[in-house]
Amino acid sequence: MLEAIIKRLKHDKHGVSNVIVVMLSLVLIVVIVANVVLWSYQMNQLDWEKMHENVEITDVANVTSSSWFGVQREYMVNMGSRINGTCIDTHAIDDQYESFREGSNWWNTNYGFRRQITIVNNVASMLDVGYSVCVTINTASLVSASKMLSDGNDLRVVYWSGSNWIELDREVIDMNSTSTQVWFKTQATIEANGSDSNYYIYYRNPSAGSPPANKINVYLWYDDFDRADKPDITTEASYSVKTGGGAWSIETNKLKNVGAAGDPNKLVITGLGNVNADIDMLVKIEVTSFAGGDLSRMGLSCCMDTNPSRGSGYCGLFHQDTSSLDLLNDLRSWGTQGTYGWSLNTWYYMRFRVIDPASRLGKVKVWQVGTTEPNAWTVDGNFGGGTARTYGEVGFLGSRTTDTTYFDEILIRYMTDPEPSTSLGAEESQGDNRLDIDGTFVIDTSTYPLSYLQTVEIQIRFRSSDTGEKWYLKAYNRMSSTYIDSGFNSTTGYTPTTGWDYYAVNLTDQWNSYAYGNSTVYVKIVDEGVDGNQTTIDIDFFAVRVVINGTKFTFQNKGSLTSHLVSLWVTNSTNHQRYDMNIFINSGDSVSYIRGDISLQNTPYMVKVVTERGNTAVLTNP
Amino acid sequence: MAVKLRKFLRDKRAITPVLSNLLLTVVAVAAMALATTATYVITTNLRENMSERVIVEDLWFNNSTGNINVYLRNIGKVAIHVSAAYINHTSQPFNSPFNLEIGAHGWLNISYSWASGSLYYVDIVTNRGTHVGGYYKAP
Repeated sequence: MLEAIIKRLKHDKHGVSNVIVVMLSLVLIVVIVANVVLWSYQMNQLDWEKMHENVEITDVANVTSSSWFGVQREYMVNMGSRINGTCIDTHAIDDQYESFREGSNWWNTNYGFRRQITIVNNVASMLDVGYSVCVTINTASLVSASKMLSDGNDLRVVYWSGSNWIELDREVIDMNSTSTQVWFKTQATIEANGSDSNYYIYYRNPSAGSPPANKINVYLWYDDFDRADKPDITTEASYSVKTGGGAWSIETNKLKNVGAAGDPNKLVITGLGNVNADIDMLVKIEVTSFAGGDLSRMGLSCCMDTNPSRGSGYCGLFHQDTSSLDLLNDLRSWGTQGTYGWSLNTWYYMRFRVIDPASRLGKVKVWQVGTTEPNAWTVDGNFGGGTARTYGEVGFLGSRTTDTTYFDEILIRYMTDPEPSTSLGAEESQGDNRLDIDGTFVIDTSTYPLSYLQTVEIQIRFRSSDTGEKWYLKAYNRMSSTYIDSGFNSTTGYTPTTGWDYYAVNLTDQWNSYAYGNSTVYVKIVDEGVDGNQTTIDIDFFAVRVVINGTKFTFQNKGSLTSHLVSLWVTNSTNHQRYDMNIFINSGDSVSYIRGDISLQNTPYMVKVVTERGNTAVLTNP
Repeated sequence: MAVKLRKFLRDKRAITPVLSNLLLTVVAVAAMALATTATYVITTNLRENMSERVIVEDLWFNNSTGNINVYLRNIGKVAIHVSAAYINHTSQPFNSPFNLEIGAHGWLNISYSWASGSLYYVDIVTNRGTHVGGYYKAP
């Protein structure tokens, strides 16, 4: 048979072509049919699945609170210690609990006492790291009580970063007095109008050595020029630029300027670069040679730029004669010209401050070294009508003629108006027992949108070994940047009994001040204060929940396939409201679905749920 | 080679078979291209018609507007375009153009003055001829 076909094909010249055409046609037909059949199969499958889907709404009920949200990670123990258990043990009310014991989170056991420092940012913008703050403490009483060395060597400033203690450089002014000033630099930003209480003053260590007191770590800039004489200070990297004429040198541990023709004559503190914030400048100044006249001028300068030439900026300066103290906007305008009588060969302090350069306002005051700084500014005025400057370089202003000026102990620090305020907490001793732990709680805002929350509740179930000590629940307030209980329904704390106790508070309508954007609430439990008992507490349950006026829907999948619910309808006589949803229910399962944004009234309504396959389940409330 | 070329040039009939074969090839290719294109178009239309699935999630006799609002969801495998909306078999204006991509959903607003307590047959038709709707009684 095959031989016959082959023979015929060989014989028939058109045979091959016919076969090819037939084959191609067959292929085409197969492709068409397969395509249609396969697609038809898919759609039939979809229809079949739709027919076998069977979802029901079994219950609809009002809910007034969410489920409890436990901590997301282990509690942070700020004071005291963890004895046993984990945070998982505090997620449910059962026999499992986590235990903590009072103690003290003490920086250095060589120090007997401490006081907490709270820094309050008084401006409506963030306070940057590195701001120099001052806290005032009565060291005279501490010295007389033998709690502090008279030289202040055991007066230390320490910062608690949340995980580590960091000892800070500090400058102590007027040691062993009733109003000793202790200066140090902030280690973290402080939110607008917020506060930071992670700083401490430690003291009483009779064998304390020299404290860290490098002023360059206390202020933005400090230089006492205590180094070898140098004919040209611009050879130093930190002062590498001078503008105009004149010579700048180091002589007998001071900065010396001998003026010459030029304008503006400046020594730029290049080590600081551009200072893009308000600053306060303080320097000691002594003029030993003064020709007088317009070219005689010396002082401080900031906001320097290159317009019209490098070194141009705002200045506070002695000028013209020995009874003038003026403000100048270089090469643009003279500002307020004040009066201050000063003498040659006498050391003075000069303080120069510019807040908001765009305002063209400046302040300068001068007082003789050895006298008390006056409260009032000698000149509190403006820089004239010249174009305002922006932030820029800072430095010294030298004379435009052959005057000789000495500068010493330049001190520059960031400035806000008003400045941050500081306060000291009560004295704590090393043996004091405290417990302070905090946890992070995250609210599920996909189920309970923030806009529908009424308040947040905090509840703890705990057992204390000391029935004489109160405990407080506090939350981190993002406005004040600290743990407080302001606005809570109860701020009186809780005195435990001998067994397990429940202690709950709610944050009333102030909850929004305690919840962060990602709906995180930081909650702390803390004892009422120092005491002699080393109390132990067992925490069985610690959680937060939200109070809402919402609705709980219960769905049951009675079909043989997993269902995907995509729409929820709540309709009544006046409105048909649709809500997006995204819930999967396995075959045979029931699922409860809570919506904080749906509040069902007592009026008749119909609830309808739609699946992705297009099926609908309905429940009517007559 | 030269001999073959001379023979080909001397043969007066040689050019005819070549041309006929070429023409046949061109015709065959063109026919197949036409058949393939037709197949593609036919199967695509067929497939799209088969793939259209639309459901009415909700139908609202809206008191505040006096219109009928139909919430449609495209659960098929092809985008849809609503070409007509009929109330009691009479075409009614709606917010045209109304298109729904795959998985999309939205309100189709039919301008129609309905009467409370009346029964209406609502029929939404896509441009491929799919109908969706049914009888609805106004509250």
